[in-house]
Amino acid sequence: MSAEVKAKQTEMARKQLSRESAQALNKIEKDFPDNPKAMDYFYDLYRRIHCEGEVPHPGKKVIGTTCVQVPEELIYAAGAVPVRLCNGSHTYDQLGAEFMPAKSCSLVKATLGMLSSGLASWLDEGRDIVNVTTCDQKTKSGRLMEEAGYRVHHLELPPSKESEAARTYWQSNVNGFARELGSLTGHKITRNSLRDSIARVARAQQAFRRLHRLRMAPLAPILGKDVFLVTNAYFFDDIDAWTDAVEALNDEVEKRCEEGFAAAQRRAPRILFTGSPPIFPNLKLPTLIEQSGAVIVADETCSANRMLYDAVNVDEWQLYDMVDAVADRALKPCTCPIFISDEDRKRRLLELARTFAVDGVVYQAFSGCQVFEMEQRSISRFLADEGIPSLYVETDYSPDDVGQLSTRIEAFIESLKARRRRK
Amino acid sequence: MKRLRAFINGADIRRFRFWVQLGFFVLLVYGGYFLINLGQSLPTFSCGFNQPGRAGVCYLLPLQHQTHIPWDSIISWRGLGILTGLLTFVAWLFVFNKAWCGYACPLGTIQDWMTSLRQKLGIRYSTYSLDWFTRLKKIKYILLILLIVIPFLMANSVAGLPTLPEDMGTPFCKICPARMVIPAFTGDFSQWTVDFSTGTAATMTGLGMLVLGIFFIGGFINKRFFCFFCPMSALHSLFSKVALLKLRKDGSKCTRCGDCYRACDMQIKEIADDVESKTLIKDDCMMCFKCVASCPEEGALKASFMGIPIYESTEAGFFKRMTKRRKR
Amino acid sequence: MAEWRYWVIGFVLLSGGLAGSAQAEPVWFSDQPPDAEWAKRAHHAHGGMIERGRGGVYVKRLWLRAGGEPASAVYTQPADDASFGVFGIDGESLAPDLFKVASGGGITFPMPEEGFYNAYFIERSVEDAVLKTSIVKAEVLKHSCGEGHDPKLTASRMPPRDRAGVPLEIIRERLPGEDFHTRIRSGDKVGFRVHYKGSPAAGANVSLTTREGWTKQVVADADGRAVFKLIRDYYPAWNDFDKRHHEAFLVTAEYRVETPGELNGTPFEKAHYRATLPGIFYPSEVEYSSYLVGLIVALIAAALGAGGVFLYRLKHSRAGRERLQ
Ligand code: SF4
Ligand code: SF4
Ligand code: SF4
Ligand code: SF4
Ligand code: SF4
Repeated sequence: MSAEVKAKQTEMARKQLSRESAQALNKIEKDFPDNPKAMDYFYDLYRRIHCEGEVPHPGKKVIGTTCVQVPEELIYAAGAVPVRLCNGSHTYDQLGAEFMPAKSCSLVKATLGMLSSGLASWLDEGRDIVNVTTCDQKTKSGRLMEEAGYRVHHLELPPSKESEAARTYWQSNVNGFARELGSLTGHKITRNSLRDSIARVARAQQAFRRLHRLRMAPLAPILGKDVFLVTNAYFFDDIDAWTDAVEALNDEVEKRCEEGFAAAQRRAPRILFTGSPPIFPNLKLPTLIEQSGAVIVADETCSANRMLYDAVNVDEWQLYDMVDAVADRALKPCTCPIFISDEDRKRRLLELARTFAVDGVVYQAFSGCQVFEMEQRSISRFLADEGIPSLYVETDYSPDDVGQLSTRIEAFIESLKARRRRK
Repeated sequence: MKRLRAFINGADIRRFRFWVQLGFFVLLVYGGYFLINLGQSLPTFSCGFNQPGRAGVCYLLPLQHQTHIPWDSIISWRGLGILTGLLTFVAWLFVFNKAWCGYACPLGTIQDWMTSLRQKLGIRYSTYSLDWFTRLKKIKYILLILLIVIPFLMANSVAGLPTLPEDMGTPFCKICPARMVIPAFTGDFSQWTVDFSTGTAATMTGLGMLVLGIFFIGGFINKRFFCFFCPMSALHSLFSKVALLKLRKDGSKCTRCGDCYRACDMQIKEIADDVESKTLIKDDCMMCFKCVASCPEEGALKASFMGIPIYESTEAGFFKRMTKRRKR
Repeated sequence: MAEWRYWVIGFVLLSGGLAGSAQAEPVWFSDQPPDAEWAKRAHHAHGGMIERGRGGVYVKRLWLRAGGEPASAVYTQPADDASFGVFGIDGESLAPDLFKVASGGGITFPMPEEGFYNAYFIERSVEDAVLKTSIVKAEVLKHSCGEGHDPKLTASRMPPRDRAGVPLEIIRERLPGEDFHTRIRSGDKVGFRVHYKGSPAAGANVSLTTREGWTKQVVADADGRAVFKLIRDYYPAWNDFDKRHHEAFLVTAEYRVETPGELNGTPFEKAHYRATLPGIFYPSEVEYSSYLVGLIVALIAAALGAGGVFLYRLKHSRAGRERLQ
């Protein structure tokens, strides 16, 4: 392929990408009435970054991450900024298809597509990435990133999290990563820098938890599509600016709660969203759900709740304990399906379903994502046993299945409504 | 009421513990000078060898005297003495349960001070691997059995064997570091010796000094090093199920994040991993409630007294403590 | 060195013996049973040998013995005309029983309460117009750990008592901080007060003799006070050493007054009083325990522990670094 042809292709892809992002954003913003005022910060952010191609952290040392299990506190402490590369764009998905087998996960393909296209790379010229060995596709894609010319640190994650052996193994890997970060950025992680970065992340988590808690209100004060947009922004936004924007949103949402405002219909079924992570611009399923008259009140995905919920606890504020604490936070509470056991995920879903008075669960699995597909049976059976209806949706980033999906979702939501009436 | 609850649940347990422990330390180590006497059956190391200072006696001391009893006098006033001693001990325990260890025991407090010192110096703590943990934790039961059986074998000959020598008397006290450490706080170093009067005495007191040396290093490097081997803790755990003060867990609210386990000085893994039990007082637990303070989930862990929750994990409390401690 | 000491002891003994021969041997109380048969009934307790009476109450049996040296003194029978008495812990008068058996005799009394009991046995006679009074005293402690250690109770029952009715009284002063568990040990300074009819008997001859026969004689000062430093009196082979070994001492006080009078119709021109008080003491801790060895053991253990932790960590941090490369 000549350079000329390649340049032309790139140009086409760039146009396609901003069109895809603008469409998705429009849908999220304009198709729904009464968006909170404080959401404007986020709509504007996506417009700048995704549609206009602005670079999130110009002039800063940026390190790409591919998973919630990367302890981002360490990256901040080493004077760099973490940017989560997991991607949701269909354009990139198509570009990445070149590197992966036919039946692969859209998320991994899109991420590879973005990295190989050299389009809107959020990384600096260091091209540093931390890739966690979670599912097979992610693990192997780390190698493909290296081939594409990136410098990849493979952070090894154990396949189970119950045993002490796994915990020590992970802790020592994270310690190794912390040491390497120091030489990578030229800023050794110190007691003070790590303490400050733990504080920054904790502040962001507190903001998220407040939003999370507000959604427990009997009348949903905010739609799930907006919350996904908010948590997605955490991937790339400046963490302090993000936290302030979320707190502003929280204040507004809290006021809505006090005023008895309902973001959806008063009797809209309450949905708990789980499974493969919705990532902008692929908020296809959440928007479909809410367009069909339900409201997502909580989620159990790694682009929202699983990423921002669990807090670090340090016992001794010294480097030795802080690094281990940060490592523990990433591993111990994680409900990712790549681990052998699914017990924690079940208990988490049940607890969320109970505390958020959920009517039904929607389980999304990207076709090709083996682990989420494999856990589907046991989770669905478990939910059925607990008397919680659930809908399993297998999909990908392509818009082709929207029609078929909306029929299924509407039927599911109707059944939830009928069930409610019967009660 | 709600505000009071929130205030208590947001409390900084470390600071609270520090002051309570200091108070108990002064009471138990120096109370005797103020003629305070809490009796002979305290379920904590208020060491009997701390002569004028003690404000009551560690139950293990009379226990080891009382079990020095010939068979035939068990059914007599001496047997009755054993029984009343035990009942008083259980009565103390019934109220505060193992919090005697987390809040009152002078030797426990000294170990916590050693831990703070290490922490200030920035030296990493050590832990046991799970393997060693399960192996070593049995030692306290072995010590408990020995401290009852040895005095008994001093008074009775079993299977025609000669009785044990008198110098085996109060065998656990001989190797208990509190015998040396606690009187030292009232300026009495007379226990810091090896007694050469007989071979047995020399062995036992020599062992005691050996344990003392290990205590200082172990207690510095390992959190609550000695407590892990303490026969008092073993004796507690025989009765801790029935006590009024309880550590309760609501497994459905637990994310198994392990934050409580991180904070636990006794390395109790079940506190995070067990989501079935409603009451979680493991034999090593000292009921310090640090785990409650480190849990970010509303009501996942709580300390309750007679079924009334007195200290509960809350999200607000968790973040408040984290912010505060980070600043210090 | 050692030989020299024995020479001195021998000399003292000789002179003591000569002095003693001038008059009857001192009589004193002992709680050691005279023979194996009586030994069977006696038990060890705080404060010496006891017997168990009805309901487990402690009963003290005090034997009369004659002779200035505790080791060789013989068991004697009480005289019929002697007077005797026991005073309980609050000073109340108790009625002891006099007993006479083939191997000896003395008095016995129950001790229901914790504290010090004072027992007296007094014999009087007039010889060559001199009134000779022998006052045999024992101060007996009753204590059982089973009854607890209430410091208030102990404090109230510690102070020594002065019996004004007893003509010549030896009172042992308490050691600083003494309680029911305190042991007098060799090397301790022990003070005694000698009172004649309730007031200090200045100038009385006071002597202390240990079981092995070491004697020291002092003259009571203006307060009637005499102080002795107890010597080490116990030299077994080191492997036979018993730190609970009871060493015995006997304090004798002699006091003469030139007051005439009469006893049961027999007149006398002067009076000669002699009081005895036995006691026990233990070997001193320095004879058998060593701080130095203790500290060395602890330091070695600490050093090995610290070294072990250090090496372990060194090894493991290296292993960690290797894994990174
Ligand atoms: S969605 Fe599934 S396959 Fe894709 S990255 Fe996540 S775990 Fe891996
Ligand atoms: S030495 Fe130890 S066991 Fe003995 S009384 Fe003292 S504290 Fe209790
Ligand atoms: S376990 Fe520790 S705190 Fe409890 S009695 Fe023993 S030494 Fe004291
Ligand atoms: S800290 Fe709380 S949520 Fe986390 S494991 Fe412990 S009990 Fe569970
Ligand atoms: S389990 Fe909790 S209360 Fe018990 S010792 Fe550990 S931290 Fe303390």
